[in-house]
Amino acid sequence: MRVGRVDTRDEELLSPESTAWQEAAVNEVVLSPTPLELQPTDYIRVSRNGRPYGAVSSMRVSALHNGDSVFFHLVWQDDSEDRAIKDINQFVDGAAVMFPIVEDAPLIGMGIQGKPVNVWMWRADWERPKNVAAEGMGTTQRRDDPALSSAVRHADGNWDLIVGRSLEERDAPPGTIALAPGAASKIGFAVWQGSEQERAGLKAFSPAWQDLELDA
Amino acid sequence: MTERQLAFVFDLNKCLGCQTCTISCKTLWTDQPGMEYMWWNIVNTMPGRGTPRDRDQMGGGFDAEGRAQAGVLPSAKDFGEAWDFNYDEVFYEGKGQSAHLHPRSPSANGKDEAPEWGPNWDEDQGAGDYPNSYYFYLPTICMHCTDPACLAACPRQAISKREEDGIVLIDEDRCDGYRFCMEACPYKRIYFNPDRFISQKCVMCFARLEQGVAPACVRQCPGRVRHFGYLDDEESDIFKLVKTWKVAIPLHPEFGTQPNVYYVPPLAPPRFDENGEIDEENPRIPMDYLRSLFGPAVDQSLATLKLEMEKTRQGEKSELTDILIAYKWQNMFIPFVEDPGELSRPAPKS
Ligand code: SF4
Ligand code: SF4
Repeated sequence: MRVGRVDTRDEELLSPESTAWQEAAVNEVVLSPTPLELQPTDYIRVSRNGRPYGAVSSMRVSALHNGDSVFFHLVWQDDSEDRAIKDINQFVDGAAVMFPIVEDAPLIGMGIQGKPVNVWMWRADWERPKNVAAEGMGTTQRRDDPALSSAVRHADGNWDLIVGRSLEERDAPPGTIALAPGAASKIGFAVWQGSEQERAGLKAFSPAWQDLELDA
Repeated sequence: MTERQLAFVFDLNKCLGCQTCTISCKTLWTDQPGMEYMWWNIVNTMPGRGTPRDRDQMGGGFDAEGRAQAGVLPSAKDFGEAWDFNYDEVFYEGKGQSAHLHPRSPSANGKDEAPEWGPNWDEDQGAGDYPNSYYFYLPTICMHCTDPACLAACPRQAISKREEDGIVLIDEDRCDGYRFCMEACPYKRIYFNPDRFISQKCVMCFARLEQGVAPACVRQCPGRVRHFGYLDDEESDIFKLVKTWKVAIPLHPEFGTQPNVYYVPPLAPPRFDENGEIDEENPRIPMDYLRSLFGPAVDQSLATLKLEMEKTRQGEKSELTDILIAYKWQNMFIPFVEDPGELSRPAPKS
């Protein structure tokens, strides 16, 4: 996936309507449910056996940077807009992009001890995305990160989300991916559907890393 | 198995259904925003639907092979929402003579809709037809299970069971509000706090225990229903009722979590037969119903209770009846006999 370089201000890149996005290349990313047998507890495996999750099967992704910040524009279908917990048995929609911190960090299982991953996670009831460091399932550390930003709308049965972060590494929470113009990394994606009681490892995800290249 | 285990025995033959336990817990632990609908301790009339409603049909726990069972995530309505009342109308809008105070369902968004359910909604309804109607009260809290289904279900290891006393605790810093524990707990004793996005439940008043004070629900109970102590302390009421006399038995042992709240099952007056004669043969509370709650051990427990009570009636001495009468209140929760009113407290934070 190429991250094109544009000469557009952050504020404008945080708008799905901006011309920069209309001109950006669109990548079709295939999603599938996370494997049932890899869910971390017996309870989750038993309770979701025969009760499908992770039904969002694809996502359209564009990526741009302007030398200062990088932005990912994600569009996926979700007919129910679950923005807030209205009852204690409800869950909210969410999405995430994930990067390996070391090259061979496994995507499935969100890294492993000694091979961390970094996740920028958006949830429909949060004001801004959170910066998550993980070295395997159940190890996630969520942190507030003022360098993360997002913009979102729900229209025509689709979520339309932009999530971005400044490329500045100073004051970045521990475990944040270092991205820079001209650099290469890898990326993965995940989506949670609140209406299906999806949370934690119950989600749709891109099962393999995609290459990520930032234009110089 | 943890090194030691604290346990409760609730004597259902003495419970008044007064909810003093419920309120003592509420005022101590669940008076913060997001906790309005929480009742970590609740007393239900049985036969009844329980709190949350129909909780015995909500699944969770383990099967006979120890395999996790799927459970249902209750709604706030199932637990019983915290109602609001038309105070404004009655007190401030000059309708004090025409409108009466009544509860409103908070999920009706300001509409004046009467709630259709609440905690302990079916209070004192019970079952059976006059003159053979019956009911009893069943207090429940987190059972601090030996094999907690909540702990096993959590993907974040946010729930732990303390080695030194077996208390099951949720680490609020680790909890991400996923609520698998709520689904998996077969007793449905975990609540979700939507304001803090975490799950919360009975903490066995661990902060009081550290000061030698019994849990609030135990100490406040006016019915002398609640015995408390270490399961391995041979001098304790707990040991004698559970291990020696075997009259205190778990609720729903088939849920497979080995709960550490034990119940002295309810005896009932005899039935009247069709001719209005006393029928000593058939108990007023059907044994099948009691077996459905407490398993097959209930037969032996009730037989022992009857036998020992008869001894006492005949003027003989019975250790069991003496324990259950609880002549000396503080003996019910040895060694946690400190009086909280006499402890020195840190100055309140300003
Ligand atoms: S009663 Fe429920 S919440 Fe309490 S320890 Fe047992 S399974 Fe966990
Ligand atoms: S305080 Fe005691 S008597 Fe009253 S409801 Fe609770 S357990 Fe029963």
